Amino acid sequence: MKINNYLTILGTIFLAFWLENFINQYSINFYIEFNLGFLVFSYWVFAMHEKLQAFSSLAYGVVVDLFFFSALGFNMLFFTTMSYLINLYVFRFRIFSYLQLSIFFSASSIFYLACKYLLFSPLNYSYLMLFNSFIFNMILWVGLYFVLRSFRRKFLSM
Amino acid sequence: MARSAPSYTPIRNYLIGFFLSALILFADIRFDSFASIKGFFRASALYLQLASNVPLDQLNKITSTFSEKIAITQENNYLKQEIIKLQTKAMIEQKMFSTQIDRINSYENKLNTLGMKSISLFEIASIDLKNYLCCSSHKLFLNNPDKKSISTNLPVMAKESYVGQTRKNHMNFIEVILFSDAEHLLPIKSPSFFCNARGRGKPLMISCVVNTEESALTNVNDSIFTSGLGGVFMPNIKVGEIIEINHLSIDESEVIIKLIDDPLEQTLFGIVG
Repeated sequence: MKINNYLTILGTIFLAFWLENFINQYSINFYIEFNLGFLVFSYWVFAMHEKLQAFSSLAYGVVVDLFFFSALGFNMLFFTTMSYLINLYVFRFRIFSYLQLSIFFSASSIFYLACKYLLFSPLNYSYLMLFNSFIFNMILWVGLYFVLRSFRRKFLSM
Repeated sequence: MARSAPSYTPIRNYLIGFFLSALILFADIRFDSFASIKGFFRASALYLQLASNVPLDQLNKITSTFSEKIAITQENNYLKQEIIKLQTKAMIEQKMFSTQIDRINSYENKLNTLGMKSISLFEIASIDLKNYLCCSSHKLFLNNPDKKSISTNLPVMAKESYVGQTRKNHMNFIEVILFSDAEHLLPIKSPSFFCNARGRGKPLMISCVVNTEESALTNVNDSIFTSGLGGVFMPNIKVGEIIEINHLSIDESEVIIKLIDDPLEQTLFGIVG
C-alpha cells in the first residue's frame, strides 16, 4: 500500500476522533457516547486487513494517543487487540449479515468505552450510558460502513 | 476439510505490540513517565489551533477595511478586552482585599505576613473538554505569550473564586489542574467541619468524607470556604455549596459540593502569587 493511503486512513481516523470529541460534548448529557474514531479504525482494518496489521495499528494508536490527549498506550493497546481479532476472524465476518457485524463492532467499541471509564473515570461509569451507546454505535456502524466503503472505492488505490 | 476459515495472522507481532502498549500504558498511568512528551504534543496542537485562527483573523480584517470600520472595530474589541480584564482584576482584588481585611481584624499581630500578592491575568488557550466532560482528568491551558515564569501549585482564580492550581509549563502554555480533577485535594471548611475535598471527576463537583456528628450539623445549600490549611489558598473564600449528603456507613457521610465558578464560562484567569 502506498504511503498516501496510510496517511489518508490516518486523516479519516483523526477526523473521526475530532468529530467524536465535538459530538460527545452534547450527547454525554443524554448518556450517549459515540466511538466514531474507534469504529473508523475498525472499519479500515476490516476492509484492508492484509495491509493494516500489528505495526500500523500500533502506529495509529501512538498518534491518536499523542494528539487526542489519552494516556499513552491506551489506544495502542486497543487498536492492536482489535486489529488481531479482526484479522483472525476476517473471513468469517465476510459471511456475517450487517446486523451481526454492527453488533460485533458496537460491542467491541463498548468494551473499549467501559475500559476507558474503568481506568480513567470509575466514578462516571454508568451501565445506562454503555447500553445507550451500544444501541447508537450499532446504528452508527451501519452508516459508517457504507460511507467509508464508497470513500475507499473512490479515493484509495492499492 | 478445513474446520475454520483460513487466515494468516502471525501472533508474534501482535503479542509484541500488545505487551509494549500495555507496558507503556502502565508506565504512563502509574508513574506519569511520558508527561513531557505528551505536554510537548499538547502544546504543539494548541499552537496549531492558534495558528489556524490567524488566516481567519486576517480575512476578518480585510472585510472590515472594505467596510471602512476597521479602526472602530479594533478599538471596540480592544476596549471590550480591557473592560473584561479590569472587571476580572477588580473582582479578584476586591475578593483578596476583603479576605485580607478579615484576617487583619482577626490577627492584628500578624500584619506583616499579609502583604498583597501579585495577580497575573492569563487568557484561556484551551480546555481538555473531552476529559472534562467524561473523565477524571480536568485540566485547562492558559496562554502565556510573554513566557512569564510561573511556579507550580499557585492558586488560580476565575471571576468569583478559586478554580484550580498551576501544574506545569509547556512552551507558552500553563497547565492548570482544576478542583474537580480526581487527583486534586482542596482544604475546605464549612460551619460544621474541616476536610480535604477531592475532585469527583465530574464537572464542578468535589466531595469529602466527614463523620456522622459533623454531617448531622451540615445542611444542603451550606456554603463551603477555603480553610487556608496548607498555606496555598487564602482562607474564607467561598468555593461552592453543598448539594448532597450521602450516608456511607454508621460513622461516615459523604458531602458533595458544587463549585461556584464554572471554568467553561470564563475567558480570563488570575494566577495569584
